[in-house]
Amino acid sequence: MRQLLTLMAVSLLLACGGGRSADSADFRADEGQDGPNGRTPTAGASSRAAIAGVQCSGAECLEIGGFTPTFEEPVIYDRADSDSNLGNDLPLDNPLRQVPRNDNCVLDEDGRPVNCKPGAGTINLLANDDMLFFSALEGTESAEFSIVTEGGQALINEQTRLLSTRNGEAVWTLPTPLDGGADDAEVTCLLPGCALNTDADDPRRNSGSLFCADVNALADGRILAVGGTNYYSEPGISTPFNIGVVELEGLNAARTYNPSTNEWIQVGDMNFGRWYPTLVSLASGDQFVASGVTKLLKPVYPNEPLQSGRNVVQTETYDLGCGTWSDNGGPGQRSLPLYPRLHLLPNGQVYYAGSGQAFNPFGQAYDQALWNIVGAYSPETGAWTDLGYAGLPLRLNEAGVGALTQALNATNDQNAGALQSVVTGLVANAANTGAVFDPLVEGLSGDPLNAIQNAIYGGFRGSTTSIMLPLQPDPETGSYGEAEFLIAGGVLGGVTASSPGGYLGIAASRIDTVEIDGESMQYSSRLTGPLAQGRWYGQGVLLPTGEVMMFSGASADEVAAPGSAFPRLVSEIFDPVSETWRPMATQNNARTYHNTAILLPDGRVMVGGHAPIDTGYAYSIDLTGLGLSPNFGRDPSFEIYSPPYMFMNRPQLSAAPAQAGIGQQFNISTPDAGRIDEVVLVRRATLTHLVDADQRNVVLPITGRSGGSISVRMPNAQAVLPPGDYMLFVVSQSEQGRVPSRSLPLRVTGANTVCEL
Amino acid sequence: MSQSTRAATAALVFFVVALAADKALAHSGTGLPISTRLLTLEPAWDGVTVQLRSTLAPQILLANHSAKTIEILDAAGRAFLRFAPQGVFADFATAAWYNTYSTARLTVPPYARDPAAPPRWQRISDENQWGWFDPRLATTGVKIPAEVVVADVSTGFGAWSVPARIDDQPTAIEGEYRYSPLGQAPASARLLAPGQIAPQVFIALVPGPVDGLTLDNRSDQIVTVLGLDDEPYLRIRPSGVDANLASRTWREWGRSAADAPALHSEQTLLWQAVAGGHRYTWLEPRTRMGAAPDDTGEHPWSVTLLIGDRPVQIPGVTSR
Repeated sequence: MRQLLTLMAVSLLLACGGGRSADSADFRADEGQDGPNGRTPTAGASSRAAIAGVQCSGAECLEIGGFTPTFEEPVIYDRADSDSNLGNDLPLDNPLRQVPRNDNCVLDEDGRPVNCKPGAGTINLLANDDMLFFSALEGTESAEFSIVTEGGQALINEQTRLLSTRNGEAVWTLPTPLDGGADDAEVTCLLPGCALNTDADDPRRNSGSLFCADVNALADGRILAVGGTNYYSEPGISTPFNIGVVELEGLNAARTYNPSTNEWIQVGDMNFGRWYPTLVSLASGDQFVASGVTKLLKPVYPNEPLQSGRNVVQTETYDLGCGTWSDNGGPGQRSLPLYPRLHLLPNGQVYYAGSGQAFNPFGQAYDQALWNIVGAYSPETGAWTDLGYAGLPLRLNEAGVGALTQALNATNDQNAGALQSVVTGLVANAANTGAVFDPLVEGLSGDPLNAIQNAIYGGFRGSTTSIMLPLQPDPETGSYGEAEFLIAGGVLGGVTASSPGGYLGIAASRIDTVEIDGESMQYSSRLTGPLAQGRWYGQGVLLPTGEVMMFSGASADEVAAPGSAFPRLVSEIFDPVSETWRPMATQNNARTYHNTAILLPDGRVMVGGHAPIDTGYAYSIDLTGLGLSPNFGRDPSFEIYSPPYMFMNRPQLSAAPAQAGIGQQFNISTPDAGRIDEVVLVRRATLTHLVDADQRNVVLPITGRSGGSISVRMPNAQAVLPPGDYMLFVVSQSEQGRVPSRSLPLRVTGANTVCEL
Repeated sequence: MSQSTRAATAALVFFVVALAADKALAHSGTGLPISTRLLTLEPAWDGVTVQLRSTLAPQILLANHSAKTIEILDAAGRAFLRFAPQGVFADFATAAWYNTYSTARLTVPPYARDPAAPPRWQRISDENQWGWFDPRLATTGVKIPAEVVVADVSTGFGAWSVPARIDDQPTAIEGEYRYSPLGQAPASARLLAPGQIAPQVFIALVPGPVDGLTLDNRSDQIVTVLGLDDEPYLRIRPSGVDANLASRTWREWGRSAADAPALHSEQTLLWQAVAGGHRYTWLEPRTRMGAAPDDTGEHPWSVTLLIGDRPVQIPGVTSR
């Protein structure tokens, strides 16, 4: 079974349209349209639906918040012309296959879904508060028997959408081109008999999909998408019908979306094809990209055989002024998991948090031991620095002692007697040294260091959320000398096992700290209270208050065994003061794989997505009656979560400058100046696959108050606030908790747009 | 058929198919408990890196860092790959070229079907390295001796050989097949040294398919890691890390080995800064189970460090 699962996990992730959207959305098709389904896409066309009010009342809202009912795009666009190859061309029907909900897809004459509504597998909050999103696993609805054998043809380029939510109404508009417009990518076939599907005239072509690209906002507000997927079969045949073994090749394409024109254009290609890369904005506004794999199933590089069997180790930098990519060279190389969790540190270095995605074939990657090591890349020197083993050294606090003792007792009965005192004794002596565990090691039998590492869930973590907690200025110097990262949920790396490592979602949660003194960095970790539920692929969202919400996900890895896990519907919140999690409101829809959640300018959270793999990598089967993840369809719906502060007496933010530069002082207008506790800049989200490497909240020091005005100072280091678009919040402290205002947009200037060759 | 009945039937069929497929895999070529292992090469191969990689099938990866010319021979003794200082060449008039390019063999053109066809050498890489799927490493069809199956412990049996020439002198890349019982626990390594090996110098094992070692040097001395040939491999300074790019260990296992430059013929040292800070983690192939574990089924290993000029042994053991 393991071999089968490995093969399957290696191949990919698929699913079908559907879900369980509430039917409460107030459907109103545009005037002049014949109906909701089967319309031919027209640039700029739009449709709209009403957004109902939040589903909570009174004390419940104040305690756990609430969600709106779901709402979704009412129109299904027909992307295929009459002469093209519609959907699956297999001559056989699978009588056991279940089609997704009809109003999510248009069916062909054989009852097969051929066009479906896109869900938000990737979403970006633009400077004008609109959202650009695109789907994931577009076309999986066409698989008849097995997405593994049919995916090379069935999977097609993703659709993109512009979504605005204003005045209780959601409006979807079509960008141009609809699929982002990547050119047909070149494929190096390793096996004879590649069945490509690259006809540029085919509206269902699949060689330039945005699926598995990463996205970032550039300093001028454009969205940059790098990588993506070329689907084909290798080996495979294209006649009499298209079938084979699906392969997903990472694109080297880079493209930008311009909000002012609602258009995608191609920009300079990367040097390497990347599937599942991660982008980070550097202090200059340049973009750093790392990892990804060129072929998901067959990470073989004929021109560089020594590189085979692992992900792309080369990193590259996109010069914002020149629009070109450059290879960062040997010391810039690093073996990283797919979609590595990267963040920009206040000193300008790129931090790898020891986590990411992992499902390469043949045991992930031969050098995956290196993924356990957190590190930082210096754009100045072009080299990485190892900072430590993820989770170690552990600074033992009260939560840590409890969690560690409990974990060790549970897993090492023979050691239980001595553990409590030993662990407790460490608290007073938790020096930040590599030998901190030596006393504990001596008290354990077997393989003590491994036991400890397991007990604290140290090492590489897969499918976890990685949130950079608010950057706080030093009250004395105003500098930002520390960054903290919340690593919660996910699966253990299982680096000694073959793909895909751990299976069950864990509840473990920890905060990693990087203390920064110029180029010198010290790494340490501490445990927090655990999540209420073990959670794979939970989506974390940092609120303006410094709290962290967790949405969606599943009880176990839905890539390892699709359709076998229970969805997580109860959201949770992390309190940064007590460092504990507690359950919050229950979301409407199950959103296990390719889910998304982002903070909105008014302080609410947009929750969407769900594009699962067909059950067992086969076809659509509805097992929701057993409580399992709805893997018989993708979910195009959204729902909006209102945290408890939305129901409290919120401070008002009246005016603020539209832009500000590093080191600048500026005033903001608020009638609540006297009770404002904090002024926070929140980077607008650019999210896919749990990754938003630019995610950050930066607390600005308050330098003065007078009447209805507050003076604040921007940081002196651009790396604290990379250029780009932010939301400015003011936060007050009340008896009920911390309460943010609605935000105002603010663009941080300072990008280096000069092309210096 | 009702929706619920249909769902239940679908689930049942799916899991039956999955189980059947699993059974089939367990008895197919991919499920054979056989792996290939490379044995030690003769001294004539100095300056040449030979690795086995298991991707779609066992693959030989060869990188020629020397000034020698290496030829790989087919079953009839005819060269079909040539690794020269100018790059890698293939004889397109040999069937072996087409049969080793990928796991699924390419069609052999008519002009290459005659074993006596005149050679058609063409450069296939400007680099000094190439990988090929040599059918002599294939495990499909390899018969496992009955006594090996009965004993059901990891053991080597049988040999494979890929004939070659180095500067016209006959030699071979040789190895063995290895039986590993199905369901056998993966090997895991343990460090037998204390975490602190010297004042302010700490070391720890990092588990993986190939384990790593991570060293934290907070002292004011330079810690040098010796490589597979006891050559200087890494130098972990208080404020940075250097790699000896001429080290065989770096060229085979270094974190950015593919970017290693060409060397002069006798060059043994070429230090280059590869990382900042005072910590470094490297892949440590010496922790892998050896071809001949000792009587206890354990594979003892050791890595030598120089702390300043003082040698320090870092012992460990790998077992199942």
